[in-house]
Amino acid sequence: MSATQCAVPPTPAITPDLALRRLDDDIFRPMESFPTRRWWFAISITGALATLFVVCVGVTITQGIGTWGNNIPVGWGWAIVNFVFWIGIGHAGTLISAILFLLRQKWRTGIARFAEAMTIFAVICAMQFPLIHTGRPWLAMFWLIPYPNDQSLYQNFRSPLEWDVFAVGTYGLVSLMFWYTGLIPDLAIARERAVHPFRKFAYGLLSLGWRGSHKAWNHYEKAYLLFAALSTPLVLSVHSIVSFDFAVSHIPGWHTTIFPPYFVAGAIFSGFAMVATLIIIMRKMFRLEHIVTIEHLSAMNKIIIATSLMVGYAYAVELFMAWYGGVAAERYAFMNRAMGPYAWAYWTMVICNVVVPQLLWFRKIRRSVVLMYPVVILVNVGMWFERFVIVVTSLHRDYLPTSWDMFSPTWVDIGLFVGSIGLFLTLMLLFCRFLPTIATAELKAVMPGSQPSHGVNHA
Amino acid sequence: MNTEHAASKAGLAGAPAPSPTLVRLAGILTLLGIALSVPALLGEADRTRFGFAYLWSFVGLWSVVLGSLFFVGLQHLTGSIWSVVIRRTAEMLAGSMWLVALLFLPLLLFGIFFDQFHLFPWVDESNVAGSHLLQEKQPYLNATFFTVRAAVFFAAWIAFAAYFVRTSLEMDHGRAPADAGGALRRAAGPFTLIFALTATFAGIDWIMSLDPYWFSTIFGVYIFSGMVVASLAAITIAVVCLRESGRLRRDVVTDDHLYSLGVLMFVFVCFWAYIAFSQYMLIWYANMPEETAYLHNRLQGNWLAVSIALALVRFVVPFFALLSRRAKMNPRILFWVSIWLLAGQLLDLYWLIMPELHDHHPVLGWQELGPPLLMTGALLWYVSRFLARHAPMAIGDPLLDQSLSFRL
Repeated sequence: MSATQCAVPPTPAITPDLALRRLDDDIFRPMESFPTRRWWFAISITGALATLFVVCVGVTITQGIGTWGNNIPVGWGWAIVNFVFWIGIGHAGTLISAILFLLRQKWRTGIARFAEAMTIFAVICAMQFPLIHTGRPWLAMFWLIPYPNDQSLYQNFRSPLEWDVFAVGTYGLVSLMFWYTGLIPDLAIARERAVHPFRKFAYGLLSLGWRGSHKAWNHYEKAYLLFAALSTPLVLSVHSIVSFDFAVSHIPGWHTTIFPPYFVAGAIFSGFAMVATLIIIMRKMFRLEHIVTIEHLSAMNKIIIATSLMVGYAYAVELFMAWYGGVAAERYAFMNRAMGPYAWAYWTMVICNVVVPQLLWFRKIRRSVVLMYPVVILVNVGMWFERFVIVVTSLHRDYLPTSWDMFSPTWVDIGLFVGSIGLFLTLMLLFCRFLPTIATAELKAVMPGSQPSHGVNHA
Repeated sequence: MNTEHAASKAGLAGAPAPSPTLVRLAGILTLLGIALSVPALLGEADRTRFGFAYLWSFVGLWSVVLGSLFFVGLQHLTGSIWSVVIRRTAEMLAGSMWLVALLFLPLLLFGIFFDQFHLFPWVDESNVAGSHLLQEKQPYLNATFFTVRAAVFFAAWIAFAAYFVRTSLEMDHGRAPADAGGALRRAAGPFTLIFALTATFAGIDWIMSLDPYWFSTIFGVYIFSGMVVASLAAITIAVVCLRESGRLRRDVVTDDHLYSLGVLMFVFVCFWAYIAFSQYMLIWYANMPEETAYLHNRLQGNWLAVSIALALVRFVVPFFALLSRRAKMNPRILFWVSIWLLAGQLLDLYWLIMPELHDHHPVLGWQELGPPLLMTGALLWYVSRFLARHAPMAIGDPLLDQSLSFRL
């Protein structure tokens, strides 16, 4: 049987000629050397943007959310757009570490750690927006978390916004624990490699006394499987519940039953696009191209095109049903989306999310970093616009034409959004310096020769 | 791929052989179905009941066959290795698409053109004349366009089924072109796209438009989720039966392969529940009359019991039955859970279709039993014919070697 007849060679988890010894050196080098000038340059920009975020939060808190562009009828503005955008980004990590693990996709090992870290930082960014939207975030705990009280005042448990508190909170926590559990063996490697006593102490503390014994590995594997099983429903539930925020209402353009799976597909779509956007830079910066290979990027591109088509399917079905349902308000909402004053946003969304990713059908584009990069960047843009279209265009022309209005963001809106990108990237850069960006111990387990009975080609 | 190679694999699976038991069973079911159908067609009221039952069982058969075609396409698309040893059973079921198209003709003729079954309110001119909404929907809901759409759907499904199945059978004898594997994979991409759209609109046309006033954007996904569960169940039943009868060797189709089928089934049982819950909860919560009426009909009278049973049968019971790893590897448990899930698919379709005829009270009499027996008989007859001619495993597939050594 010749190689060409093999329909699809499975995406290898790792390039075959990689030596175990070199693996540690390559992954841990960035953590052990003084940061390069490029890194300082990058973090000075992202740090400045993160500072802008803090400033804008300060303005919002001291002067109130009147500093935003929100108005009546657009009572939900960029804050919700950004919240949904970041939560969506946060879906790739757990999908890769949980669902792809259950689906036995071994190639995920190379990118899992990085994507998980991204998930946690994206969830952190996302949580800022509803918190500051409450106006007085220091009181938010009393408003959002149910606690025993003697005033018989409780949260509105019938509101999906309250479900969000639990869904996002659980997701953030479980993702964090999942990520940390995976980090422990690698932190132990960092401890063993550390020369400076303080580093040794710090990584020693973080690695929780990991010795790599047979028993410890056994527990680790069990914990990993359980985390994967528990995280899988969470991946689906978080964005489903975010979609409920809109879909339980009566607003045309919001109330539609396809929202939960459509939001989940969109979240995975945007999450993978963001992973690709950042990991391409990371592998270049830290010279990890032989570990995060073009095979990984190509596999991610396939997931991007699949989810792009799911999102496109949802757009099409929504349009068709708006007509088929025969409800005048619903029909108008979609006419207004596609042909109203925000048509440019709608068509940006369609082009970036449905049209452009079709380029990834071509093997050449899928396997070329230069060619795929614009595509994934445009997906990031398109997915932000998707949330903008859903939130703003559905609201700005409500049932009463006299109250119709346009939405224009203020500098605080823009500062918060751009600043949150800065916050996110700063956290990513810090992560790359202080923690192993690749799940080293796991990677070793899928290297050739590590599982003699599990080889692909043995007869 | 060459003939010699395929021949060396021939010993892995039983040779094509007729199965007298299957033929007998198919014959009995078909005859019984015809015997029950003929008297039902005589009376006016019974004829309507027969029509609804015919649609119900037709959609059931269609979901199994189209779901199997999707399974085949998905395996090619993902380059799946574990599934090569069991893919033939899915190809077998998918290959009966022409039979499904044939069984659709009576529906088209007597359900749409002569309107003897009174299935779709939008077919009746007097209904349309009295309803503004139906007039609005006429550009989509009319007999001509309905027929054109159905023709396009079946043309696409039959073409893809023929291509996938024929190529796989040619591989058995080493007659497929050298790059057949790559060609199959390239066809699988567009197929998946076309499948998603055709399955959605077929679901809208044949099931949702029974209540032409109602609409739900998730409906296509709902039909899809049930279809995948049903087809996986049918594939599993076929695999387990072939394995028990010795046509598939136990060391070839191992417990690890069965486990993978069990996992997929478990996943889609959960997926169905997720989609069903999403649809129900959002409609219930928003409580808008144009949407709620549909659920309201299904929650009043004795239909409430059917609705509750649906959640138990399609989700709760199979969820716990398939939860443990041991259950997913046990052929006997898999067999009975699959039977249960097929019954669940029929219950689901009954719940979708029948309230349009009987409000308040679900009815199941001899008038309803003819079509399901007839169609099961027809499918089994087709299966027996297929097994008498073709190997029960894709013995010529280039990935077979890897699939044989698949272990968890």
